[in-house]
Amino acid sequence: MEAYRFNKTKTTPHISFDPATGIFEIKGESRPENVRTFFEPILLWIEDFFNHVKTNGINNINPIILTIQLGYFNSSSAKFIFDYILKMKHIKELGLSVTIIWVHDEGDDDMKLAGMDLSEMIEINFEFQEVRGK
Amino acid sequence: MEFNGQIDYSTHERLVDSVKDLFQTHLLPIPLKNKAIHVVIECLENMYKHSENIENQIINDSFSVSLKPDTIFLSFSNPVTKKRMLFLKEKFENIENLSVPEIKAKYNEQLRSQINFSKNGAGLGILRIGLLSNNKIKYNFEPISENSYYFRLFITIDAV
Repeated sequence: MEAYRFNKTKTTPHISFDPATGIFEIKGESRPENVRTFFEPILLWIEDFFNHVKTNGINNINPIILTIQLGYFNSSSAKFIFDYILKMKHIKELGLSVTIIWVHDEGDDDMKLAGMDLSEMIEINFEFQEVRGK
Repeated sequence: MEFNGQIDYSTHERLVDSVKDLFQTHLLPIPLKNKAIHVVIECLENMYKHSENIENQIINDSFSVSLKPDTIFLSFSNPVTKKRMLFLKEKFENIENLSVPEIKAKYNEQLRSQINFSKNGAGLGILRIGLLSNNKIKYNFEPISENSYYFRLFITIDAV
């Protein structure tokens, strides 16, 4: 299955979902002018990936490591991020290994808490990493 | 920092950049700075996404930021129609007597729900502002005419 890639802009994150390597990334600011136009194709791609795993099984698919490193994001983006992670949980339930790494600025407890809340709500474990903020 | 004028998408972008620069210059604690920038993004988006033509009125939007070492004061003002005033009033009244954990529960409930991204957005913005500000929100609506109001929003962000 083809990878999904989107280069980051000032208001949209870098997106790279590559089944060939298992490296999935969402990195950067997320406050697109039109949230639905930006996020819906990505959600459709994840849905296709879910169906691909369901149809073909997990044997020839790499374990997924999804890294989420959000800078500033609007609340509409938060809803889509929730939906992506929920879909990743569904993929994990098919038997594929899925690791989610939530990266936040050092000392930014709000951002860490946002990740912890998502992890708890969706019932999927996150690993947390701190980076030095600007 | 103060701005008076029309806030549209490109102005909003410039203002977010200016706020980032301001906070960088003042070497604010990262958690405080991050909270405030998230609130600024949310509020400015609300202003430009819901700007309405107020009949025969030329009234500017305005936005200001002032700083103390551990506190950031934000204010946002813009003209709104009566319909929008009633919508905002209901949303703010719904959270004004809630504790932060209660707002968080509502926010999480909204995240879990199916959302129709209509003109009113995901319905998460005001809840998120309440969360990030520990619900230190003040607002008022001053009548401009029978069908229009001047909406003022004051938000305090603390380091704690």
